[in-house]
Amino acid sequence: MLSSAELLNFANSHGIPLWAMDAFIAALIALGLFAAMGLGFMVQVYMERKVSAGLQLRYGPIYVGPKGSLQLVADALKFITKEDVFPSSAEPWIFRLAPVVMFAAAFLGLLVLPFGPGLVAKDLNVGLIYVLAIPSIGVAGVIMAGFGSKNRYAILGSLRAAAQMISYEVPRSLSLIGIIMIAGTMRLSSIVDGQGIWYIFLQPLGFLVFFVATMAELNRTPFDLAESESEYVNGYHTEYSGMRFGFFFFAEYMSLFAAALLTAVLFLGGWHGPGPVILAPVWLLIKVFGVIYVLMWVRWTFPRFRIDQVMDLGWKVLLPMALVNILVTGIIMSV
Amino acid sequence: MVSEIIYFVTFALVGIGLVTLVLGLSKLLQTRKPNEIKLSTYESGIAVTGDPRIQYKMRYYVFGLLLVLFDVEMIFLFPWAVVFKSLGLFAFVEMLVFIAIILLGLFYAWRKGALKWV
Amino acid sequence: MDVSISLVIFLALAAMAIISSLMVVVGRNLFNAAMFLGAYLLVIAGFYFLLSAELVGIMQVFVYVGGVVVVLLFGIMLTSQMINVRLVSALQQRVLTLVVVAALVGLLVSIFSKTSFYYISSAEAPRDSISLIGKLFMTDYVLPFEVISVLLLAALIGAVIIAREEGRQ
Repeated sequence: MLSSAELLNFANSHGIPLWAMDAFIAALIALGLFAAMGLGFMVQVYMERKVSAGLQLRYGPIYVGPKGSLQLVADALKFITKEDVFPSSAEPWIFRLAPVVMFAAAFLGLLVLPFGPGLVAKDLNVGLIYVLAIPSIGVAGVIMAGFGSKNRYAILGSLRAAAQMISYEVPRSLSLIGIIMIAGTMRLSSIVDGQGIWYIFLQPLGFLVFFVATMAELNRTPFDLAESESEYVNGYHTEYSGMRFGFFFFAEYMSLFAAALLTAVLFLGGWHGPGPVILAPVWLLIKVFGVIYVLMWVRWTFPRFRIDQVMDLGWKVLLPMALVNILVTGIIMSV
Repeated sequence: MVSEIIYFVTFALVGIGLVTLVLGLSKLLQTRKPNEIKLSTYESGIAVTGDPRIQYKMRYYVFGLLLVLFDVEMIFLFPWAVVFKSLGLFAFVEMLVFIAIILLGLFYAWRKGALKWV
Repeated sequence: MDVSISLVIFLALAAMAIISSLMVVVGRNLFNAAMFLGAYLLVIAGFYFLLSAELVGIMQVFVYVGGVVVVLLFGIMLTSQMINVRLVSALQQRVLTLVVVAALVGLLVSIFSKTSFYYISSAEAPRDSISLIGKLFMTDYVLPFEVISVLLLAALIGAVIIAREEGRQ
């Protein structure tokens, strides 16, 4: 990565305005992240299928490529070439915009996430709130999908998904207050730098609340009420097919990756690990995929909650727990 | 902060642009054979009757209101947490009072059954 | 960063704010109006970022786009027949609106002409606004801060009462 001073010199000597330089670099980073997320998407889907198969004593994909690893390429091709059914009763523009909003919300969340020391698009000093706030725009995308589809399952699914996502946003954000208190900053890279001891050991209760709330935010089993197959067919994206559905799917796995990365950065010491500094992103990726594995393990082990249980867990268990965490952290730090 | 805005807008434009590009590519590659039944609303094979946009449970709205209230509470918690170390006990007590008053509200809602999903 | 590019960004944001807010009031469809309101609130967050008030800006997104707009969308979706309502206005309403808007514009123009504007360079913005806000809440503005919690409590009780009304029916 070039330092900002070098870039400034380069821009000055060639008469390029700084904003154009900024926009150019941002576009390059965005393209790189898109490609990386596309690859990560395929790896995660392959992993999910293999993990679920392993937990259920099946083989998973085996035919396409060695150990079925090219199955994902085949799936991607299928998504692109499949007919994209556009229901005649749907609201055209809202139906079209919903996957774009979902995708953009998840993609913009990556802006502040660090992939290693200095490997971050924009290290905002409000980074921690940013990663909580921007993906929450996705809730509007969910409601748009349900409303635009004009389908009973889609509307019910979108309402449930939105209610669940906003309910767990509260304990999820509150559980991170303890970390901010200890770190004294909301800049994600500074939070990693401050982790001599991983925050999972200093904030066990905060971690528990954050992890459970993250599962709910991601709409993954045991919190998959948004697309509970046995109740709502497929939830808010019932009417979507082809590549439009593909982008919902993509956004989902991008959010999964981002959530795992955030967990690793906030609680698992980020890129800290033995060895030279060049290994830092490798350590981070190992931790991220460790978290993703645990999330998959949970998903394929537990049955689904009922909606009233989900709401009770969020408001009556996790929210008080998050507040108790703040109290305990404050008392320990004051004494 | 100008640089941050440029980054944000560029990210948004690249993201939306790539989605549009891939959707356009998919439109070129796919075979489209629409027919009336395929385009009708999916309702597990049953003919759709009536407008699906009827009145749903009001309960969702209450949880939405609760979210906004706690979001506003968190606005004050975040900057407080950042400077917590340098403020000392008095600020901690102030925040405890603040949280206690909000908790009173949550407890009220709980007792009155507003948090119950019926 | 030079002044010209921040001016360009300001003008672009202002144009987007005006267009999206016009779409909110001119549109005939409530759902679309709510969507444009969301876009408008996002643009306002952009203004805060331009003014180096990143905490206020991100809170704008957190509370308004992620919270208030969702509540509005819930409200529209959960009210029966609300979505199909085509908003039409009668002649008297239009005349009345025109009068009110004209008065408001007159007021704003008179205020603008009397105000003497001065420029603050971005270098004068505090380096660490978050800590500053946190400190001020706990020292100079501690009473308003505690009063806010009472206000929130009142709002919470109001929300509960709405929920109880619904339960009784």
